[in-house]
Amino acid sequence: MRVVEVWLGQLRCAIAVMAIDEVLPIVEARKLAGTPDWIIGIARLRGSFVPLLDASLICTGIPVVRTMNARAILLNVGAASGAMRMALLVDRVGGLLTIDFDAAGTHPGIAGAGRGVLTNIASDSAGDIYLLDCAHIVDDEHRKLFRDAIGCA
Amino acid sequence: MLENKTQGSSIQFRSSILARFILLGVLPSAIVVILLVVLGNLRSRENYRRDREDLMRHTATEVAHMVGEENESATDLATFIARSQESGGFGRLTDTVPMLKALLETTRSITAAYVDYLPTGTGDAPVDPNLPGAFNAAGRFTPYVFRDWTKGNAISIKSSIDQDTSLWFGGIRKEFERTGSRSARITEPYIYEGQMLLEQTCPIIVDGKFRGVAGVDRSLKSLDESLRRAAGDIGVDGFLISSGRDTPGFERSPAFIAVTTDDVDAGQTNTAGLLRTQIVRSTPYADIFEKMRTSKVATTEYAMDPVLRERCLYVTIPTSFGGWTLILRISEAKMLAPVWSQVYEQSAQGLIGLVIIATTLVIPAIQIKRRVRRAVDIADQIASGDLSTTIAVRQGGDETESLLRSLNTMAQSLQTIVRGVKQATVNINSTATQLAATAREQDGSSQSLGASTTQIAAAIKEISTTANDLSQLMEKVDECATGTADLARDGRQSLEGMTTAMQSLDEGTHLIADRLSTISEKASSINTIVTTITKVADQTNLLSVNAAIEAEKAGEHGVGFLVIAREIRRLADQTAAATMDIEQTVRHMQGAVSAGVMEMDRFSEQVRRGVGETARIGGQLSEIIRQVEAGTADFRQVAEGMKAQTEGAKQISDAMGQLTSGAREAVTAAQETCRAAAGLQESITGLRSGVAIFRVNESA
Repeated sequence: MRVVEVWLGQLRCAIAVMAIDEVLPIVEARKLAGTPDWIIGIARLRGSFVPLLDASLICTGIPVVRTMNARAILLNVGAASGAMRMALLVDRVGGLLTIDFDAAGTHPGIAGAGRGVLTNIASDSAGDIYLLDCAHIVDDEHRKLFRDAIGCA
Repeated sequence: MLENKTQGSSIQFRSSILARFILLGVLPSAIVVILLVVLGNLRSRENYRRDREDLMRHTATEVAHMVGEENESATDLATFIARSQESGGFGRLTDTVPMLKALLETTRSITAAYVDYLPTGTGDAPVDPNLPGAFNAAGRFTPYVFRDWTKGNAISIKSSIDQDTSLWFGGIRKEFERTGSRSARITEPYIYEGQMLLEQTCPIIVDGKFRGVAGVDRSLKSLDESLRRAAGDIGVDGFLISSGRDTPGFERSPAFIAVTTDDVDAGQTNTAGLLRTQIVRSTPYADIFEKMRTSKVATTEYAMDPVLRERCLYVTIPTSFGGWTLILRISEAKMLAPVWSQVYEQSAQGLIGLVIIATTLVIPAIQIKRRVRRAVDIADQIASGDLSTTIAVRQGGDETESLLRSLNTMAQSLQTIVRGVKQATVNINSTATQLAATAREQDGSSQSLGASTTQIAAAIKEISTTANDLSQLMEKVDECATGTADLARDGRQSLEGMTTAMQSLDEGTHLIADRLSTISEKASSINTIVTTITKVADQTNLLSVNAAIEAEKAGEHGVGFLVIAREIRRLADQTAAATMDIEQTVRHMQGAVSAGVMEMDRFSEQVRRGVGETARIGGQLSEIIRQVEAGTADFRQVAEGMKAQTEGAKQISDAMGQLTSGAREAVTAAQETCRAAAGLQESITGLRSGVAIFRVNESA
């Protein structure tokens, strides 16, 4: 499986290449009232309004440190309620890797971690790496919230 | 550094940007264009082939339907005549002949109409002299009413012949006797009086007995013309073949009824040799047409033509009536000939498009390759410390030219900074050397001052101890006072020289502090440039990640570009690492400068303190000299003022104690100045070794 290596603090994760539209520098977003902290807000990327989420806060409980290495990853993920674009804020982006997550499989130790988005774990010469399942980061309720917010933007 | 330079200048062609543009841009484009042209041509060829096949099937269907209708119409006329004879017309000779004439006059598609009775068929009717031509020589009623083409198609009548040996009579009679069939049938074609004819003939059955036949003739000329017209419209050959029903002893079949080509034996003038006068099995088409006419439905097939000796398309269809078979034929090469011009045109368009694509891809690739090579060369030179090289870059342009301009600007800025640092180190070194020499001189002077004050103190002590015996030792006292005044003058002169040296030292210290401040400002400028380079490297890194992702999404076609993205990212990482090295070097330089500034501040403070002390000692020494000189002038009155002399000696002793203490402090200050100068020289040596790796254009 071809993935892009990302770092959430000290946590090494992977995002499938096919889910990624573009990697961008860190962007500003407009906060949505009444939303949890991991929803940073609505950002304008390439002329479109997309929700900006803090992947580190989701997976590790520690927000992304906004250094020069921080990146916004523009995703296009599908779900039963339709495809949706969103952006994940990460601490750092590594390189492209080929990781066989199917061979490693799931691990009971990470079940439910990071709102259930860390689905698989594998290892390579650089250590353990977790697969970040972008399609399940937000549930249908939040999707509807984002669509409403984008429609009003 | 030298290794990097070697690697940067020895990139093999297969790893170069130009090769990757050709491999990933021109070559795939060429393959796509060639595939599009080839597939387009194949698709056009197959579409044209299908269109031609459809057209031939459509034409064959129309012609077969037309022929079938004509067959049915002619056969209906023959049946009509026979049934009218059976329904009371049989034997009514004077009514039969006009009816035949009237039928011929009203039906343009037939060339003759006839009835033919058996020799006993006329019953009791005698030969009617009013019906000339309706009876043969034996008195048999055989009227044959026809269009006489020798008389301008005027309707004539004559008696029929060869009844018993021909199909139209003998064959019909034999078939009725064999099968009892009363149906009309169409005979095989034959030549009669120079025309190819077909006969539609029907038996006349009265009271269950065969009494004769009735029928109509059709010339094949019209059928032949119709076939030629239809086939000619679409450029094909046509063959109309009869039903192939054999009647033993009367006819051979199947035979050609109409054809649009008589190419059995080209140049033959005898009509007997023409194809349309042959039965099929006697021609080269025997095998192929016999097989095709067995189908009861329309068929399309390709086969080798036995006459044309090339592969042909055959469309075969049975007529709707009469059991005939229509075959249309066209050479495959002739059929597809118009396609080739389109193939040539599309190939030429594809070739032109390929040339345009190659040109538009290769020219920018060559330009980018040259600029990147120049950027690599100047980066190698900067990395090796050679900042003297510049690149000629025009204004505007793309990112590569912007990169070259940035490298130029960076090299020029670094060159200016390093040149300033080098010059500053030279100046500081010179000043430090002067400072060290001055400090050594000051040390010597201070030690001399110490010795002098010691001698003065001894003299004063001697004066004090011999104060009571002054009268006897006045001359010695006078000499000692004079010597004391001389020594005090020497000490004052030394102090003035030391003060001057101290002031020079203070000015040098301020100059060094100013130079170090300039170096610190330049180092800050370098930090700004390094920050800019770091941002560019970070943006390049971001671009390379996105390029790698897009290449990954492109699948097989993006593999090569993925390698390029990886190389770009490696270059960005190397740039970031080099930037960090520069930043580290600048930081070291700034640290050395800061240490130098602190040392200079401390040294300046000590110098200022030394100057103050020297001034104060100078003042006290002047006072001593003045008092000693005043004492010398009054020695003649010593006897009267002994007490005052004793008091003055005491005061001199106190002043000399203070002078001794000041001299020791001056020695200490001079030694500290020496140590500060040594520390300053050590810092300058470190600074010079730091900037020695940079080579700059000394002429600038």
